[in-house]
Amino acid sequence: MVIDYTIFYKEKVRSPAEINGRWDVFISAFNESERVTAVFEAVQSTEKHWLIHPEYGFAAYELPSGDHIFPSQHLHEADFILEYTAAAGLNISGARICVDSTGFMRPQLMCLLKWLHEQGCDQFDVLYTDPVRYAEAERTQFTKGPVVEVRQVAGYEGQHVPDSGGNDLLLIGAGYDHELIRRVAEDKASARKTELFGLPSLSPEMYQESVLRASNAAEAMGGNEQDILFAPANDPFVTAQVIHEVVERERGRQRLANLYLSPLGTKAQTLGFALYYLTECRGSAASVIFPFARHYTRETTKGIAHIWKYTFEFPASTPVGSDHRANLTSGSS
Amino acid sequence: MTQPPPNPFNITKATDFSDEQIVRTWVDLPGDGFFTIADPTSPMPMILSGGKGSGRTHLMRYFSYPVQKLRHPGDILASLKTDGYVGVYLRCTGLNAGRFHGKGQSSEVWDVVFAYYMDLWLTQLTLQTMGEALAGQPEFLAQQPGICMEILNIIDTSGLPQASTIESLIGVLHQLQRDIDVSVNNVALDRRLDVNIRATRGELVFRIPQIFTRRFSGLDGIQILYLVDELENLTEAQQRYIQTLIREREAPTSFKVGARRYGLRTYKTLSADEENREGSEFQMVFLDRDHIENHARYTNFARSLIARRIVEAYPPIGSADQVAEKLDGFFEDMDRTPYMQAETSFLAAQQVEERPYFTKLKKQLSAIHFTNREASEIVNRLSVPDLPLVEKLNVFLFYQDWSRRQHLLTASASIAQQCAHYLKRDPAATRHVQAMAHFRTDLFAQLLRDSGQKQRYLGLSTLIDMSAGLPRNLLQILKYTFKWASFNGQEPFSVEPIKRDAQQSGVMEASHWFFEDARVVGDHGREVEQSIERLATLFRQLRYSDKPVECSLITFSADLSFVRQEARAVIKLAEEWSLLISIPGGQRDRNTGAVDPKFELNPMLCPRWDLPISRRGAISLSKAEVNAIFYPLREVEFDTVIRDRLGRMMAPFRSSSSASEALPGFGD
Repeated sequence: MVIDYTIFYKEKVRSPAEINGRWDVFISAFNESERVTAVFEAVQSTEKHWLIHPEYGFAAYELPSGDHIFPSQHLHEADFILEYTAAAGLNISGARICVDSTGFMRPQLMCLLKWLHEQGCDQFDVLYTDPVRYAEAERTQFTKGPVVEVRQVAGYEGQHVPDSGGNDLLLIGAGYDHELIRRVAEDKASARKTELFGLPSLSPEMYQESVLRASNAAEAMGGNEQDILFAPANDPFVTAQVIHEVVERERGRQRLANLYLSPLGTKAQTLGFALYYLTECRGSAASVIFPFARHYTRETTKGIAHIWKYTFEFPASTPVGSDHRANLTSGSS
Repeated sequence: MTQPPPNPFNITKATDFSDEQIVRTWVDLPGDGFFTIADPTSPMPMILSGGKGSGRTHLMRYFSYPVQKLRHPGDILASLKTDGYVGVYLRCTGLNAGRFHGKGQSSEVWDVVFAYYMDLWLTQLTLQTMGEALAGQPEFLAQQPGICMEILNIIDTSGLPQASTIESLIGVLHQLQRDIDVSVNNVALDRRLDVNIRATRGELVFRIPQIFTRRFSGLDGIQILYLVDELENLTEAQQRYIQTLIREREAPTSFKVGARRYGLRTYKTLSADEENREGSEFQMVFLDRDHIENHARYTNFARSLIARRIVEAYPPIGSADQVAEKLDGFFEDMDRTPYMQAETSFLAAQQVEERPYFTKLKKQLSAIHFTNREASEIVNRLSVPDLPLVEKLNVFLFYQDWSRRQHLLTASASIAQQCAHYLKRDPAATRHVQAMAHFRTDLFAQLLRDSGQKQRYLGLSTLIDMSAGLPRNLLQILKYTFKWASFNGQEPFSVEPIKRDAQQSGVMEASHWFFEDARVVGDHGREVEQSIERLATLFRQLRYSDKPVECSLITFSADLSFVRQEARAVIKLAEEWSLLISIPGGQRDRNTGAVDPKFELNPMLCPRWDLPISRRGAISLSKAEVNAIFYPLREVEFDTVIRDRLGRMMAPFRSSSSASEALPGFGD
């Protein structure tokens, strides 16, 4: 399959007021960040939906007001998304959809994309807002409390092969939280490991900060030589392209049995992982895995640097599971 | 730019090794070897457990067929006959077991689906192994269609393609597995779990080896050994299935199940909730505990391990045996002579007006109204300028006398007199001899601390002891030490030994790594971390007090029967994650005669708090103290515990109950 993700459409503006577009449904995940609330206020949409993640721990009185508020107690991403889509009576047929990825939990964001894709929504817009900086620089804590499990993300679970002969690859999108990197690396201890860093980063110092944090997980990443990959932290399309290229290279070397992807960096990077998976990995020996915690910090950034609008386009949707004969090792996906 | 020399200890985990490296870096236990601990031909199932890095995966992979094949080039079947087993290795993490849960389905449904999935997975591995091992055997080739037919008879084959070769049979089973994958994966969003269970639970796992053995005589006397590793990645419900397989084991199969200590969640089976019992249904081996209990054997094993790594990285250096012989010389060690003069020479060389511990003592004496002249006289009597360690011993004995309310001027004179005898090696100086024998390392540690020097963790035996029976810890210490030595411009394992700076930096980095690496996963992680910090803080305060009562203190005992349940749970977690090490036999309580559990702080953590590596003394903690240390919400109580304990160890030695007792030796 010849794919060039970099030709997908993206647009950058400097303030929420400049966001170009009008939608039928705008979906965002509420938190206290200006990046999230200012964009929500500014976008032009017939309906605007606030999703409330339980991981942020908002009390009822802290929630925004409006007609389309969707609080949930579900921590599992599939339960969360199914509850929302049922409660919202979301009819996406022919609808113009926009998702602001900025405040989302990563697994829930990926699960929503998968759901939209499964429902036949082959084109939709996704926003992501760059912060000016992280609140505590390289010491910024995103997860609050311990990682309770590492597992596959619903909708991104592959069909793996039992005897990999040591030919598994774990590709981690490195973010600031070294504890997350460590947990994921330990979960797939026997896999070869590669880190993908955001470079250029959202701002000049962020690359150094993320490398500094990631180095704390060096032991879990193993003693063997590792590839280090780079893709712009705010470009899901280049991210998908870089993943595509490295997987093709590994496949060409006959060194790939099971592929594990773990997006722990920016939401834009997460979108790139999801795009790559949904386009190329469904039904293969590939999964997205994630270290789940029960609580996340509500506000980790300062300011708005840029707002990105990405237009996602998928090949026409296929029914659930119909592509499950594809095989990663044979390259027939 | 020149390349840095290769670090022989760069890889610390067996999971990072190829099969070839598993063979090349294999080191057996001295004596009868690992096979006596974990005999792969034994029909009795075994659970191999231990802390992270106990060598479990290396051992299990060594037993696996791909490594057997490398160990025995040539006629593999004859070699399997010699070995008496063929190892089928399965990593539980590959099952991605987390998805067999929730998604709108009941746990009973998931139990059934997971068991079937596990059977298919294990069966594919078995068939791959057998197919490869027997590939060139004419008898097997003749029997192959019949074997396949018998295996297909175990499962409901409706709608399935025929298979007459092992390869095609694996294809059929893999397709069944993929069908489950699709259904299990899609149920998250469509809530329909459509799995057709085609075989009775466990049938594939036990029947297939029986079919092979019955139809192919070459397998007579060869046990099919399922090596199920990383059990900690399965939930309690999923582990029940493994326990069920252990309970229902049928010849010619057996199991070796590898699990980290904290990951053993249950011994219950799916057979009416019955529980497997050690000695009855399975044997249990804790590798690290076994190493700790056989200190000399572990030390020799560790030395061989290090030598093997060095030889692998630097082949011209000689054989592993030759390297093992000269291993100590590769690491600069401490002066371990009785008075440690070389180690304390920095004090003798210092041109200071007064040594810091004497300045402190004078202040303490002044606080209880001794005159300057009296304090100076005491200090003069205790001084031995050329032998700082002996001088420090005198000060320690003086504090002992002070705490016993003795007349201090008289006490100092007596100590000076005894010290003179001691230095002449007069056997009458028993007090000095005994105190030095017990507290030498602690007094030296105090000297270093008083002088603002780093604690010294030096020499190969210290590094081995620090690893506490976990070979990965040892490799980690050496990895960091090597890195620092290279960074400092040294060429380790060449001419000169690795200098102390590199060793100290390596030890400290390894200690920090361990504290991070052993962090408990889950909701109680922070509580365990805080508790360990409190315990270590208590030990440190006691070690560096004026009058420590226990030497080399990193151990406590306590009656846990009546402490808070939360505190007990934290201690259990800390032990399961190797932060605490349980001491076999416990400690007999001096008052009640009862045997209390006893725990040692893992020596890997000790440098982080300037504590000793080797344990000798132990303190008995009261119920209140255990609660204050291990019950996380007791911040205030912990401060009180420290204050009370320390009050008895620091001049002027006020007891906790009577802070204003009469002061000794005052008013001379």
